[in-house]
Amino acid sequence: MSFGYDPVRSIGLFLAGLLGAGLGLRVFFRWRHAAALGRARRIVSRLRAPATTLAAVEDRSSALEELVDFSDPRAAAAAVREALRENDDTIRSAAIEVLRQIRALDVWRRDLRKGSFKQKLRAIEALGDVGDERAVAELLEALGDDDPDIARAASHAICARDADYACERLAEALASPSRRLAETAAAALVRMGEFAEDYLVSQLGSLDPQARRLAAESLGSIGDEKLKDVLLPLLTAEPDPEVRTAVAGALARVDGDIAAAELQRLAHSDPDWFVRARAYSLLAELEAPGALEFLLLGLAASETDLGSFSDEGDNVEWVSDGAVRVRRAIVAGLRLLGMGDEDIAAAERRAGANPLGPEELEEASAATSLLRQRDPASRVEGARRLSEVGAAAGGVLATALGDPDPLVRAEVARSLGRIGSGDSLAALAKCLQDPDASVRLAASTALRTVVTREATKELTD
Amino acid sequence: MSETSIALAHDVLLALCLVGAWAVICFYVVLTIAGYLYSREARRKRAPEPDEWPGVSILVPAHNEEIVMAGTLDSLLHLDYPRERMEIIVIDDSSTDRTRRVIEHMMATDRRLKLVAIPPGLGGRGKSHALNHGARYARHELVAVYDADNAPEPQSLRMLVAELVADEQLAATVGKVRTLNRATNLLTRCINIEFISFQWIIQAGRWRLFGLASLPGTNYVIRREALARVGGWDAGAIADDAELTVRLGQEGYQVKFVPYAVTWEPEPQHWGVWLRQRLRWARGGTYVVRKFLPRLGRLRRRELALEVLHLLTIYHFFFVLLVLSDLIFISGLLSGAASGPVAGPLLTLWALALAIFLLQMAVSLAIEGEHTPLNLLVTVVMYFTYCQLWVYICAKAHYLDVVRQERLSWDKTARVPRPAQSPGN
Repeated sequence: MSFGYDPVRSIGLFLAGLLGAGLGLRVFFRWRHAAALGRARRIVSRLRAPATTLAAVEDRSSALEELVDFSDPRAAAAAVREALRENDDTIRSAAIEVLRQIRALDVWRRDLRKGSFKQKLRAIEALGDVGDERAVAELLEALGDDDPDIARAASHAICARDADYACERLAEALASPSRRLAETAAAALVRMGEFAEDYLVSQLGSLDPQARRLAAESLGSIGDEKLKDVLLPLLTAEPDPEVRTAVAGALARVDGDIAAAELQRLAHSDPDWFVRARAYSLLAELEAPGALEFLLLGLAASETDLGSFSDEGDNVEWVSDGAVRVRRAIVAGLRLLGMGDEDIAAAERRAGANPLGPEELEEASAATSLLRQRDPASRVEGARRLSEVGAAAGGVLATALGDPDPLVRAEVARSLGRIGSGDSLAALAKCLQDPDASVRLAASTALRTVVTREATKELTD
Repeated sequence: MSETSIALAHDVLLALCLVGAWAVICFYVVLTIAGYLYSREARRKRAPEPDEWPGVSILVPAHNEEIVMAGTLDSLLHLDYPRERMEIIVIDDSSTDRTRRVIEHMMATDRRLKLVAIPPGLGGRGKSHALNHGARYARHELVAVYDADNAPEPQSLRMLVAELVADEQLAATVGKVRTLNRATNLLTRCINIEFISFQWIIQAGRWRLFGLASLPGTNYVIRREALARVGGWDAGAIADDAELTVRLGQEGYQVKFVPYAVTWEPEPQHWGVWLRQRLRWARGGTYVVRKFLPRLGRLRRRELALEVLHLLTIYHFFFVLLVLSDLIFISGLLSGAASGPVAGPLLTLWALALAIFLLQMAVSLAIEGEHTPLNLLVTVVMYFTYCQLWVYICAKAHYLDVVRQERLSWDKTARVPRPAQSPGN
């Protein structure tokens, strides 16, 4: 028995019909929305007309009422958003009022909190166009969104309109309990550049250390040289070591020359180990003049404790905090300045065998400063005085073998001979190829002294 | 033996294979539905943030990780967690490259970074060994573990800790692992789909139905007290995560899957590297099965049996089924008894199984928002290529374990530099 119709064809036709109907409805609603948008835009253009006569003012009022009562609130909101880009505050206020009355602001706020990714982005854009207090408050919350793209978009949107108000609120957000929100706010302030400086400077006095730290870092990122006067006093006055570190970093970006001197002071005398360690790192990053010598001296003066070993005797090295971290920071800094592993190892050995005490460190620092003078006679004197410090200054002297003046080089070679440490053998051997005869002579004499001393040490050991 | 009896034997074995396979398929269908339901619940019902965040010691075992170390440490330093309640302990396990230098360079910029350095000659004994070293120096009550090539999302640690603190029965919370280099080539796309489906079907589904999830090796937070109670990580286990899961369960602890705490990691881009990695996982899984299968009846939490049986299924049962059915087909061809008294739409059943597999993958991709036409096409290709390699992996694992009796040793996966794309794109 056959039925006389094809079920597959019927089902196919039915599905095709459904699809066609669906597409048709979609096209219809899109056309309807486009037509409504066109009508709404025409009404909005009446808002934009200058209200210089009574008739124009009345026309504007009636345009507002028509927009509020418009049949398609979505089209009305889209058209009114275009009016938000006007510079005329009256038009903007009118547009915001329309949006409030048609509840578009509520919809955007809801989308920003609970919408999909695209809905959130659209809401951010719209609220950015609004730019008033309510909109900025919502956008500030979005800085802490789980999605970093949303947070970033919100931070851009906040700054789109009223920069003063935005900066004020962003600066307050630096103290937010959500670190991510605070950091996104800081990034937004950095983008504002010099405009945001005053707001950031005001946060340097905040009770919240996170706000102070982020403010300092942001000021460093902005990099305005004028900020050094604000940052300098904080190096001594700031009680929180993390903030002091941030201030030191900011100062290094703002004014490298002034920073170098302050960083040396911090490296020697700050009570917190991390500040001292960071100061050494920053000196290396700045490639400040004399940084290499300073770090070598720091290595010589640092404590030789290399970290604890586990009780089970399995010889792991534990680098946690305190002196060992300062030492590792100095070593990392020396590498950054181009010192090779063997030279660093030699410097560590010298430092371990003959660590510098505070008075010796002061004398070594003074002698190193002489080594950096323009006048060759001062540099010769500096090399001579460093030989009196002892083996710990060997690393600094080895770097001075590259001095352009042969008198200085010769004195450095003699000083290394007087110290007599075997670690300087390689450096002295290179001096045997020096173009200047007096340097070669001084190097060979020094080598004989060093070799004899090393041999004597071997025999007596 | 007569032709009829051979044919009967074929058909009985074939029927057993079909029944066994379909039982597993139906179970996974149930898991898929449960996983979908959990995806909606987990989004709605998040644990409240604690009034005071507990301290977390993050352990990062590292062996020759110079390519990826800086990026990983940068991601960890940017976790949205109170700075003073967090420390990051990098365990340099006898690295011979510039890993230590990279670590020391970053240590100079942040005081939360610390270093445990195992000297050359004493290390290289695997991740568990390194983690046990690191845990000895952890000073906070919670321990988090991240692999050296991970990029956790900023909010992931907060989510894991909040869930852990909210339920005292939990020993650990585990997040989701996503593939950073998923668009690189066919292999990485397959791995991406596999990871998504594993986490939404197995992890989410089992948690929803049985309160069971397994540690994934990275992106998890565990109570230090629980870790100490079970004796730390098993240095003899290559699959340290699966093994620890069962031991935690033995002590009555639970492990919860927190799907919106996400970390991103690059996966192998070359087939050779991938095969070695999966071989290690297969052998590690077999170690766990051998260790706990005899004690299945004595496990304190009966749901733990599922973990052991899951490993047994994927590394043994499926492999045996596939090999048996291939043998039946070949012997049937040889003896001319390919069609016996068991009649049935075998091809239709196979097509239905394939359709269910594709549907399950599509559901898990849709939950993740990655149900693109390309991914769906890759899923089809994956069934006939990537999935079939499992036979080779299981066969080789069995050969090494049973025939050669080769000792399990740690084989590190070669690292891949992070792609320039951001994780969400």
